[in-house]
Amino acid sequence: MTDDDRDLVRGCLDGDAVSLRTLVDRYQGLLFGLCYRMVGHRQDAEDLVQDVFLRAFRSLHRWDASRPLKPWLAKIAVNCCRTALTNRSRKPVPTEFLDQLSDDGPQSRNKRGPAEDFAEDLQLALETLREEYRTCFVMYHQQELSLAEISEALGCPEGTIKTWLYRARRELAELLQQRGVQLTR
Amino acid sequence: MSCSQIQKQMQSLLFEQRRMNSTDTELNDHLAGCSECQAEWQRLQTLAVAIHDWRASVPAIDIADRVVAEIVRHQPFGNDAAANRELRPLLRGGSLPVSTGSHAGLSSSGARTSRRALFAALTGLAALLGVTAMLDRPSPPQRHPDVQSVANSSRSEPRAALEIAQGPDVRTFVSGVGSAYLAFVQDTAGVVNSATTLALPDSLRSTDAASNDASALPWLEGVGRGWEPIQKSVGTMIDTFLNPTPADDPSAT
Repeated sequence: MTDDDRDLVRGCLDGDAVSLRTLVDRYQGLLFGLCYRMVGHRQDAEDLVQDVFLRAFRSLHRWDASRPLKPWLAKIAVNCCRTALTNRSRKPVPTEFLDQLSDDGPQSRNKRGPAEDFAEDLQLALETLREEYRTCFVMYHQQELSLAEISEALGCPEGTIKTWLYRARRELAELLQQRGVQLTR
Repeated sequence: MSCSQIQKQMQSLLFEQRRMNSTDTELNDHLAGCSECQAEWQRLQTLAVAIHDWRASVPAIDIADRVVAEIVRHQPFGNDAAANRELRPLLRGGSLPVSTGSHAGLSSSGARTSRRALFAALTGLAALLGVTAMLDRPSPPQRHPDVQSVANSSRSEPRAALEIAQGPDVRTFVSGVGSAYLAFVQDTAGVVNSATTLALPDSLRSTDAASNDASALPWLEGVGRGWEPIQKSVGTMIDTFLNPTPADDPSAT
């Protein structure tokens, strides 16, 4: 938590337009990355980011200024993603969904290099993980939140987060191996 | 070290950027002699590379304009209209309307509620004053001439009735009549005009309709013309009760 964040929040609550814009600019990347990795779909992730900011600004007056802002926002994002994933599980998954993981569409799958394949394989493997493991993994490895920040966001002890991360990595490593991903460099 | 401990050590080394130290010598020794941990080490290294690529593959995004527009549209600062108005310049052209309808509605509703509360308070006060004035007012002697005439005689049924009439039971009765009248007036959309004058809708004043037949309820004769007629009606009713005529007294037949 920086004083800068605190000032921005205070500015937002006072109706300062610049503070609002700065806050959105600062955290949109983090929240989008988190949502994108959680739901695996760009358009859904953009909508979720919008929803996250909206909820956050509605509750901004309730934010405890003695605590860091980033985990607070991440927690809202995780909750939004959970709701979206629950809703999605009640609907049929479109067959083209896996192809949409890449913005380039299905035609370009054969044109991609090993780096893109690795990323896609990992994303697909990630979606088979338990939700807690996936959330921890994305927060730690995608958003680079510390264990303490993840613990704050998810409301779990750091020991639990470490265990979830450990198990998530082991399962992902096995899933990648099952998908035939080999270390090539 | 067990395989489980070694595998935790591997994860720390690969994913938590921990520097090599003396325990890693132990790790290397273990890997040299354990094929299962060697396989795990290979899998985790593959994962580390995949994570690197996966992290970099998040598409760029700039949806700040859209997010800010949505925030302003939903007025996140609730009733703080000034704060919401301040946010309008964020929008390109500032053309999105910031509705104040809900706030105006709330204000209007609040004023209506206040007026209703004031009306209810005044009505209650009026009822209280009216009933109190009616109870404290001494009954005119001519109001109960027959009762007064028998009051001086030896104790009789009418005298006992007079005592009852001056006691708390009749006061409660009269008070109850007043309250019932008020409730009746309010329930039928009557309007309390002042502390001592009550009004009913014209339709209810009519005695033509069977449902409003005043003869069936004598004390209702004064309804709509103030407290004085009510007092008279109630007095008449008490007189009738104390001195029933043969026609009124079923036991006389």
